[in-house]
Amino acid sequence: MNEDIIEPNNYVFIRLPSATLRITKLAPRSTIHLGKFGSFYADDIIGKSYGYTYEIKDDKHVDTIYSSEGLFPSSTIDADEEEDGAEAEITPVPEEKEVGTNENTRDDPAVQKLSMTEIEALKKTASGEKIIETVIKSHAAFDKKSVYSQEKYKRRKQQKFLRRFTPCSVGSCEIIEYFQYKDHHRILELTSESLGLILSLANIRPGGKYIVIDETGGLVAGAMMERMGGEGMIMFAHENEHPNMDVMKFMNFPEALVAQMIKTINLFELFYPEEEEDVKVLSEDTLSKMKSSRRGQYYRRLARHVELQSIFQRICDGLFDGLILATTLETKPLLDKLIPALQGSRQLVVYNTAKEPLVAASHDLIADLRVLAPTILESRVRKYQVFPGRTHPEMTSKSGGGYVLWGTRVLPSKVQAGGKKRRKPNAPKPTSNGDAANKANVAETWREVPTETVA
Amino acid sequence: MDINKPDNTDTSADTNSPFLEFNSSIPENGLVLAWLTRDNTKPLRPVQGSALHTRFGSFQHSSMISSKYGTQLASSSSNQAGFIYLLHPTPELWSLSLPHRTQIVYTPDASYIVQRLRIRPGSKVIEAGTGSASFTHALARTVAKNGRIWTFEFHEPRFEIAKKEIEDHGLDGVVKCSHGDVCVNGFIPACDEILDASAVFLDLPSPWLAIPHLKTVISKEKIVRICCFSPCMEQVQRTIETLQKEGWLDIEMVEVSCKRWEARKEMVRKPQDAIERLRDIRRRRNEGLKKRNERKLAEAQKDEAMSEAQENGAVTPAENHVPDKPFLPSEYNPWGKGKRVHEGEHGYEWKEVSKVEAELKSHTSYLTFAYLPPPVQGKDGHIGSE
Repeated sequence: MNEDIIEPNNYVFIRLPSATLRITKLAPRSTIHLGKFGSFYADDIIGKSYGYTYEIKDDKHVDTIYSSEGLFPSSTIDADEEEDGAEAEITPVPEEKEVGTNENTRDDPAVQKLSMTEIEALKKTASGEKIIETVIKSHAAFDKKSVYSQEKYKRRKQQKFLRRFTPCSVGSCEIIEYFQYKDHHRILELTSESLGLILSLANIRPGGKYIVIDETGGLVAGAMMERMGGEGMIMFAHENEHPNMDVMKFMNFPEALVAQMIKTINLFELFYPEEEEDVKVLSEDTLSKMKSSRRGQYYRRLARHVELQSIFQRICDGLFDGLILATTLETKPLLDKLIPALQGSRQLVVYNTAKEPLVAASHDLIADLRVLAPTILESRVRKYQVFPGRTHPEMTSKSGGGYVLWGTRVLPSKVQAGGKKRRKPNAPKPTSNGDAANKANVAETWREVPTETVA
Repeated sequence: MDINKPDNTDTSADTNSPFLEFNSSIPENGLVLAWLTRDNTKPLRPVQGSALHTRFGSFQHSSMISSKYGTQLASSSSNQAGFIYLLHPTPELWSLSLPHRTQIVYTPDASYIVQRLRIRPGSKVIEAGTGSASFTHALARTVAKNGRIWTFEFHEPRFEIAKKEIEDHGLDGVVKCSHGDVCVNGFIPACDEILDASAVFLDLPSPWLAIPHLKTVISKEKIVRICCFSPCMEQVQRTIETLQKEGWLDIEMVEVSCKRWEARKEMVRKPQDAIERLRDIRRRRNEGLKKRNERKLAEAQKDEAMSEAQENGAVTPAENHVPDKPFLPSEYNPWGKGKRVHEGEHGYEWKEVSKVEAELKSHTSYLTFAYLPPPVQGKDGHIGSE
């Protein structure tokens, strides 16, 4: 997983001027097709740093954009300001009459003097910027547009004709961006703000041993791996016979690293370890008589058996450092099984697309004394359009993001675990005021439950 | 890999940062966050002979040493009752326990920034200013032992406190604190290291003055990502203007809002119950009216009889007087009317609901993100240009 240099056979995340996103595998000597933006030879960018912007030429080779303009040439408004030598402290808002209005604009397809065939011909010969320039020149009413609308028009043409792209490394943020527009359900509608919150609250860091139930195709587990730097372990519990890591595969983790860090276990194995069949240890003699394929199979089974037993032992000893659930399975049975596997003062985080299952889980945890201060968080990011004099929140935004339940595993003292000191609503009143304060602090009532009085 | 080897390498507290390593049990003089209530967590280091005194009672340090992290500890006061939890430090719990020296970067913001800046183990990060060093802890946890954070603070007393705290928490191998005004002098570290950060976080009143100084202290080989944290829109606009001038790309401004929901119980109050209660009230009123009328009638008759009797010279017998039946409230009391009913109390029907916390943190700051591609190494060789 090299996040700096593009390696052969990496999946790369490609940004295009049209704001469409692609994830493509860069096989050496292959040609990558980007639809109307053209095609290019993968070899031209393999071995380069991520983050450069390229322009596709007619011969399918690419040019690096040398200026620092990225996917879009600098906007005209900025250029104007620089020409004016506007070193002003605050970017001046263009005045009303300079800006122009849409008073005199009329919808009329005839304003564009170029025909479709002429544009198509131009596309074959000219560069993207040249096409845009020609299209604007042939627009009869361009001058009548307001400055802002000229800018918008230009940006639209850029999105259409510029043959530029920027390859980025595929991390959890890029995966989310990609699936947000494509198939958000596949990653349980996760957003970067919710995923970031989950990883921070669960205290994911190198060397930790974590449990995850991940229904996002391995996005959550992959994001955990990003935060673990190759140290530590993830117990990946799954509900099907085979774990689903279809999304994680885009993140370019070397197979060996995944095998080293991720230990898979299905729910049957997790809940009924005693039903696990022993692997009969075979003698050297028997083994030598076996076919090599059978022998290989035997060793794999044996290795898997040993690994499973060591996972069972760790669960039994309660030695895990954190728990993340991102699943549509009912939470309570999973928590009942997995809370004892956590050490004291470790974090548990449950993600769900809906709040109600987390509310139910919270109530279960409040009644259970092993988890302190369960809290449900709803984090949402709002994007803004920021142009001088035209700053406002974006008109639309993607939904999703779900809810995050967070609590800390604690070790209740024995008396409490028996429930003897649990406050009963009609328990006799403590004698002193100090005790009254204590009463609120006792046992599970750490959470100050407001008393409801129906008058 | 042997996943069952002991995690608990209880080395001495000064080489072992609880923010970088997990411990199972509490070492003497090891950092503990004593959790009293949701809003009250006290950091302490247990030493023999000391005690923590709270309104929930006293807690002997000696009973904390060698306890497991997460232990619920009963107060040593004879009349018991109080409890605290002995928690393992995490950056998130630490930020909740902070006596706020400055406005801190809260977890919903902090976690999003770490995610968006692609901070990983081994990352090199510039932070200015250090502030209360709350976000510094979150960064340190993620960059871990092989990473580096160069953090700058221009307010000297704040710098001193942060530096001491970083050392105290065993993070000084990862976090390098410097005192200085990055807006005026640029990013000059106190340590003699060459800065090559791939992530920059600016929480400054005027980030636009610091941005031009970044060129010499950021990586020349990889993408560099920046986040500027400003509460005001005017600051954002000037920041963006400078970022554009300095060649930063993909500039995006966002705001994180986070709601905290509480799981609560709401009593199920059925309209039919209200109707029955009203029916009952009407019944009782009618009964009362009937009784009053009867009584009035009786009194009228009595008066009549009295006057008649007076006329006749006779006295009314006492046994003729019927006493009022005591006016009992109806037994039907579906919602514990007039009683103090605790949320979730047995004997009533409850529905599980969620309510948003009383005070909402509706705006922290605007976050401006951008990235700078690595510089292009000239037109020689590798790039297929003419």
